[in-house]
Amino acid sequence: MRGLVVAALLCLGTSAHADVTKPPKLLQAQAPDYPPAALASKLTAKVKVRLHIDANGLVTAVDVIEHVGNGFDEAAVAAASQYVFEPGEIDGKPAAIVVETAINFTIEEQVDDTPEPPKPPPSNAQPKTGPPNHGGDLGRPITLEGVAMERGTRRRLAGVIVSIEELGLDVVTDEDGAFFFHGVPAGKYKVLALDDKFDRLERPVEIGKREKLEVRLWMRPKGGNLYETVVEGERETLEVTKRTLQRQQLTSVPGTFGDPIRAIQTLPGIARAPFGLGLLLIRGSNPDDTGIMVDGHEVPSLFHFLGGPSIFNAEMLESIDLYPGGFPARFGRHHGGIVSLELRSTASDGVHGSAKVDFIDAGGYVRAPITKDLSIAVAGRRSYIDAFLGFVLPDAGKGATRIVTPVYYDYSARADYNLHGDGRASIFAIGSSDTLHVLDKDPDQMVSTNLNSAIKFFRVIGDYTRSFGGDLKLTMSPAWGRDTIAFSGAQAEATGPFTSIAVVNSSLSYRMRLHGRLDEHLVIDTGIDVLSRITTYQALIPLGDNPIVPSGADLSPSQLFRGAQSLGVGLHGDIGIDVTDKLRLVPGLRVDGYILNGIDRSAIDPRLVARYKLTPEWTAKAYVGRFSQPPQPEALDRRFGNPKVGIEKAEHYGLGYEWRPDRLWSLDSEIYYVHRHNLVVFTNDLIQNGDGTYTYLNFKNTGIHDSYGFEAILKREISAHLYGWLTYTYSHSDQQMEPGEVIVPTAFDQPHVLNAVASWKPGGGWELGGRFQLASGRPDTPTLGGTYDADTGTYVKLAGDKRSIRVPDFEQLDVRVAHAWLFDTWSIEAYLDVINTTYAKNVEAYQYDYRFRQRSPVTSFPILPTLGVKGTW
Amino acid sequence: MKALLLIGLAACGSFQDPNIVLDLRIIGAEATLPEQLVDVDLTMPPDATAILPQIQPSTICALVSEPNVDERLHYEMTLCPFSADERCNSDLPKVVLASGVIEDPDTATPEPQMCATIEPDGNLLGVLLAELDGDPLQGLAGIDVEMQIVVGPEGGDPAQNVYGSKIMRVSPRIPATRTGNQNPSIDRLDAVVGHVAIDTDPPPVTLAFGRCVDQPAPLEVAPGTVVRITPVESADAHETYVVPTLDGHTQTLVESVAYEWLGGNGHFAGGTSGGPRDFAGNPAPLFTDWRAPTTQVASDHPLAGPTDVPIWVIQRDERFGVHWYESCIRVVP
Repeated sequence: MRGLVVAALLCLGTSAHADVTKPPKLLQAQAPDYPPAALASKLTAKVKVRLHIDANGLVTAVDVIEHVGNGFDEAAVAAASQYVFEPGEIDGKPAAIVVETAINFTIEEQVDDTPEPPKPPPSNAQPKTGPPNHGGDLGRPITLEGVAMERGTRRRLAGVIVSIEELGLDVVTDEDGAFFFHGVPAGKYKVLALDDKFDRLERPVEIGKREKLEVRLWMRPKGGNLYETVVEGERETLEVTKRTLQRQQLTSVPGTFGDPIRAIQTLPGIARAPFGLGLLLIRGSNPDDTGIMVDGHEVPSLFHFLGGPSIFNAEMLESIDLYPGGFPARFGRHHGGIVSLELRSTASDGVHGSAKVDFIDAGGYVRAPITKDLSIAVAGRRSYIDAFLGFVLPDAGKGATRIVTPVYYDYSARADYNLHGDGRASIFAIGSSDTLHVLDKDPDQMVSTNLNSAIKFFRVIGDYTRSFGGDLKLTMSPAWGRDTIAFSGAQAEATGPFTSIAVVNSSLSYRMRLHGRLDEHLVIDTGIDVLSRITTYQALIPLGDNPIVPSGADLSPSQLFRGAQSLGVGLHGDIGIDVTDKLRLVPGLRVDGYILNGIDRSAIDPRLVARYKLTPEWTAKAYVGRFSQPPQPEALDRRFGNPKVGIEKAEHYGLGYEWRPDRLWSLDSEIYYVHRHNLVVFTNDLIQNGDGTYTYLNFKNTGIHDSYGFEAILKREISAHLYGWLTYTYSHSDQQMEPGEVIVPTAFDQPHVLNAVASWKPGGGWELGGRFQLASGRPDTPTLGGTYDADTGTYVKLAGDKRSIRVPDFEQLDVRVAHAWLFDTWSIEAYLDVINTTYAKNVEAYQYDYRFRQRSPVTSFPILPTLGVKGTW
Repeated sequence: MKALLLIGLAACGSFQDPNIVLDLRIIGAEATLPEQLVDVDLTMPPDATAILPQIQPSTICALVSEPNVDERLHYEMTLCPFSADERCNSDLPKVVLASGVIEDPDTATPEPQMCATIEPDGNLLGVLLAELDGDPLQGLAGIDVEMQIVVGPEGGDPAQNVYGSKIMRVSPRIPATRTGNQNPSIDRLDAVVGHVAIDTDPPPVTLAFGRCVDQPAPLEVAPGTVVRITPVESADAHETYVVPTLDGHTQTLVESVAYEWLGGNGHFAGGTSGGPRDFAGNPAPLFTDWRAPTTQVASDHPLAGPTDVPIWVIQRDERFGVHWYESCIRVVP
């Protein structure tokens, strides 16, 4: 029996935003002494420790994360304190980095039923010095070399201890997973590979005379499919409230169809969207009041049409940050919230990818290095609803034809180039298309329809980042985009459309940002944010400019051409001032100037954030700030809008705390109040001109929204086997569209929203996940009856007080079960995602009979299982 | 897309067919003069003595059916300013112009009438002025006065009352060539019995007007037969009219005429027909296909014998012009 001590890196790095360009590399390890009493009692242990490594690679402190006693803790700390690393680098510069590792104390029984291997000659004794991934007599040729790789992903594994048991030789793989043994004599050996996160691997090898043997050690993650290492670290915090989901959390939340954007709907501050739609309803705001940013550039669209999946491939994303309020000055032009998508670097140690198939679409992703400094990734997806829709649609009838072809697809690509000391550059492009073609011919009804609609989206974003020394970074990022929405309707035999609409939106934006630490007490984040947009409208539609003709008039379509231009230039700055070692104040200012359809507007938005560290675990926080949102340039159109419409305003107030007892657990809670005013609302008001003619006002700045509430999230970050969060939101939001009008709850107001999400990998390749939602019902207006309108033949609803009742509360349990099979070079995962497992009949709304006497609930998802398969290599 | 499919599944309710009259219903209402024009200077305060003499009395009548039971009905017709819910519930002026009791509307002979006449008097003037008071267009688009119609079983629970409304519009004569709207009309209803396809259909027959009780020998068809019914419009059914625009000009339009189809049993393939062209440019067909019932109304029991099924056609233009036609088809098992 002998005590075996194994140390393996669990995680290292810093945040996803302060990129670790080079991880620390273990140069010298000191084997701990197995506590004699524990060894005698055959006690084993695993001691998790956190190593603080300075910029010189020396361990300055060792924290025991979980105390196990029996002398193991002390032995682990004593040994780990002696480790020496080659310094890690952040953005190309040596930097202090925190690393977590586990030191395993295990006991191995000596097995003597194998033939005695040849004894090494005395000269083969392992030298005392040398790179840790080289073993044996370094003065002799390499006779055994290899690479430790993760099964299923072919990821090269650093920090794996590789032993030739019979010779007593140990090495630790380098960052490329490589190891080398020198001067191993011919013979049969057992090569042992050990790492805390992987199953123990034992592989027999036979080395011939005068021969060099190369091996690959395929390491199987414990449990068959561990979550990828969580990347967590210190980061300059200028924002007060930010909730982040990492890539692994974006695709495995049950009930979201693996959709990364829908996953953030489980966070606090976001009300439940009806029918599982992807609306972002943040703190009582309208969905349009929330900005969606991709690497700082705004995008207008997140989802494929009609509640389809997100346009963004989760593999392309590193993380998604949700700022429900009080967001930093670098985000502007919105007064609701901000959702910021951070793209994933394509840097790769080889060609990797994935392919996914479910019953509605299929897609794939590939990431590959092109040269040492250049790497790329591409992704794509296409639906095939069109292939089977014809089988489920009702028969068109004898002699009739009906063809319905809905197709969506998306694609994205990114290239990264490492300029080393001159920084990094990347370019990212994404596009999507949603088209629907309907051809319907029914000679018996004497009608035919040829309908075409298309929604297309394209963005290309460039990025250049370089360090200005220390922690200061400059980022310059241009972007260009084009969005198209088109519709046309015609008879099947017609040569041109009878009605049509085409809206083309071209945008050009540029951001320059300087951010980082200036000195011991100051952190800055400042820059400029420019957005230019040109929108053209072409339509062939019936247009009437008279107030008399009611619906039903047969107006001939006429051509309409309109255009809208906007230019917005924003200057922003946040300065983090460490007033004391506990108090950080972040005053911020954003100044925006706009030219909207030739009319200038401006906004000055001061903000202030304070964070006070009560204890190492507890932090109090508060914020107050103003936020502005320009009207859409179309709203200033002289014919269809109101050139006098001004900027919408909001003030955000918040007070809360954060509790982080350790790396895994956190509690974040706050109360907030948001006052939105000068909101642009539609109106039918008319104004009489001096010449006696009339003009519709169309829009005015009279809307007011007020929202207050309390939010809390208890979160467990990703560890090897588990992640999850429990969130609760209490909120109340009401609105008044113009002075004197009754104040009513907003359309999606939900006082109580609770979400519980958990995902667990118990081992054996299984993953089990669950998501439970409980939310108050939306406001509704009671229906008291109907009145027959003899002039239209329809019934007019007799309504009670507006939004004075609510639909029933919503509850839903979603479950996800997945199993992964690992092969040496690839893996495959099959998953079953069951939405509404308990078949709860949640009422989203009511539909009424033609005369408003009877009603029937419109329920959300019935129980819905989705099967899918995903392959990864 | 996935969500849409599911919502579609989840939203399937089962309600009564709105085109089959099963209980007390207001079938239609028409005004003898749906629109009246007055010569008035909109820039000046309204002059009652100038307006009222230009208005003619207009009689509004309602067509009601109660196929479920034979009973007497009470009714009340109230004049008030137009409101969004088309009830006379506001604090604005209102006046009851007619009320009373009628015999069973489906079986009584002669057919009972349920009418009220809007006279050019102080009642109408009060309603007009009240509505004009809040009109930003100062009457340019016309003033809509509403006739609320309330009908219920005689002596019955008021909760069983049904409500309807009919508009009469009073408009300024702008431009000077403008003429008031007239109710549309049709010459006859053509019926193709046993419709299968246009090119193989037998020649149509004329569907006689009148209630079932008034028709000794209505058209007979077998259960399940498809009858294509087409209104043959009068030559002047589609009026050409001129309206002012907000920018001080005028616009000339041609009426589109729509049809609502109601019956006592069976099923209409299209509950409405006619009207404006659709977004693809298809002129809306005027006909509907009615499938004769095989069972008694609202039950699974087969027809016990020859059954008379009332058919109603409500013809409308988009300017409050309404006219209704009653007919009957006998289904013989």
